[in-house]
Amino acid sequence: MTETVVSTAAEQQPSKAENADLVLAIAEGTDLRGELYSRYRRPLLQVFLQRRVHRDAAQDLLQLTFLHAIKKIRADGLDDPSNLGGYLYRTATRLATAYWRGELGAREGEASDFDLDDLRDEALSIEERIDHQILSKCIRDLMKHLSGARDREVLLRFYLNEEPKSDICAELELTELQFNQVLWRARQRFGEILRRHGLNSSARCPMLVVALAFALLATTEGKLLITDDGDLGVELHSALAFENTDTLK
Amino acid sequence: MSHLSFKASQAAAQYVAHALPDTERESFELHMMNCSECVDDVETWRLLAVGLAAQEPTRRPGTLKSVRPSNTAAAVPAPAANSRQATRPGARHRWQIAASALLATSLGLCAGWFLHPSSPASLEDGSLELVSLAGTSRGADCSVVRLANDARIVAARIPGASAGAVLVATRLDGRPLEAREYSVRTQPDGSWLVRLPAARILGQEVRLEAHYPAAPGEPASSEPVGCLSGLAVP
Repeated sequence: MTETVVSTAAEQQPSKAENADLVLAIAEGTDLRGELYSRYRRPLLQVFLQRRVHRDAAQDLLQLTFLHAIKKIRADGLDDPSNLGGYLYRTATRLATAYWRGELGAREGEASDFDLDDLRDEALSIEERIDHQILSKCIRDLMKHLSGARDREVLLRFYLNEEPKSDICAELELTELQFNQVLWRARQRFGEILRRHGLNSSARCPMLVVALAFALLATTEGKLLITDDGDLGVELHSALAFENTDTLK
Repeated sequence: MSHLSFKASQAAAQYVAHALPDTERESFELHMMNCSECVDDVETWRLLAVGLAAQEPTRRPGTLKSVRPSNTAAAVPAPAANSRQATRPGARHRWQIAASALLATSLGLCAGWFLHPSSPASLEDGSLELVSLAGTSRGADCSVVRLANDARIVAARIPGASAGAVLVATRLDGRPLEAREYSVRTQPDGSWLVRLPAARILGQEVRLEAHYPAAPGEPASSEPVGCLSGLAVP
């Protein structure tokens, strides 16, 4: 089972050879910006957002990241072309630091060489594809369908207030396992709600879901079960303060 | 760590909540660069966080707690060390200049420390809140800054600093804050960086205005460039 998981997860990642090919093509002057964006724009955007860079500024920094990378590839090449993602990541974190230190010059900030207007859908984050009213509805649906008041409390405190997990667990008398169960349930249900609005992230691989179920079981005490409607579920033994059966779609 | 380990430990959920330790965060971000599924997870969690924030901007208004006042009282001039200095204007003047220089250096070092990337402790322990105001939403809605109990300083970046303009922080009624309550610097990228005590914006709005001095044929004018409002979170 473990071998299956590894290969399944690996299938979703650009291989080292693919990265090296892309770097080579860019070095030779081929216009593969679309390919570069499709592969790396979304994770890089999250790197900037995580560093509390405003979304508008993050767009500029994204362009700068790609601009720097392409210039570097064409001028000097990369030491390890197969690690293109790592190079882009380091560039992005340096730019985020420079942004907060006010070190980015106005000319650099423009980065007008790159026009991101024609981005393909796969290069856009879910948030960039969702209408805000629909998002509000999705959140209302989620809060309505969460199993208990404490599930909602956990989400609000963890994400809205950014309280430490340990504090939340202590105050609500939750084990770490129960806390993770809440997150797992919320993620599954939010995913279902988004899918109903045609906003699913990528389709889930059934084998990976099975593997994750086993991974959860390996780290907890519980058992795998099949629900009445044929879904795969994990029953976790806990203090039963929460609904303790999760269904993996 | 492997993909499966990240999934099993709910790394994406913790990442968005800023709950991953630094080393794990870097490891996860590097993994995310080549893992579309983890990017999906992170985007979904961030969407949820953004959605929650949009729906509950004024959650728990009754739980606003006072934030410890800032320790930046260094702006208050120190009293004379002894009476002899008070009777020697020349010496006193020199001491004042020296004290001012020391104070300016200290403030500069403090600002540098708070904003230096190698000082994550201040960010990680919540004592410094960074806010980046959008240039496109100038003067529009007030930006709500969530303040943890230990938040002491708020640093806000405002793009588009105009040459010749002075950034002034004012209360809701338009009265300017006292100069010692905040500091402003113009950064090389043409942005302003405003630094003020978290307590100053807690439960109240502080407006930021660009003041333009009078020029030949033109009266002095001002333009709103942003607004900050603090919301305490436990």
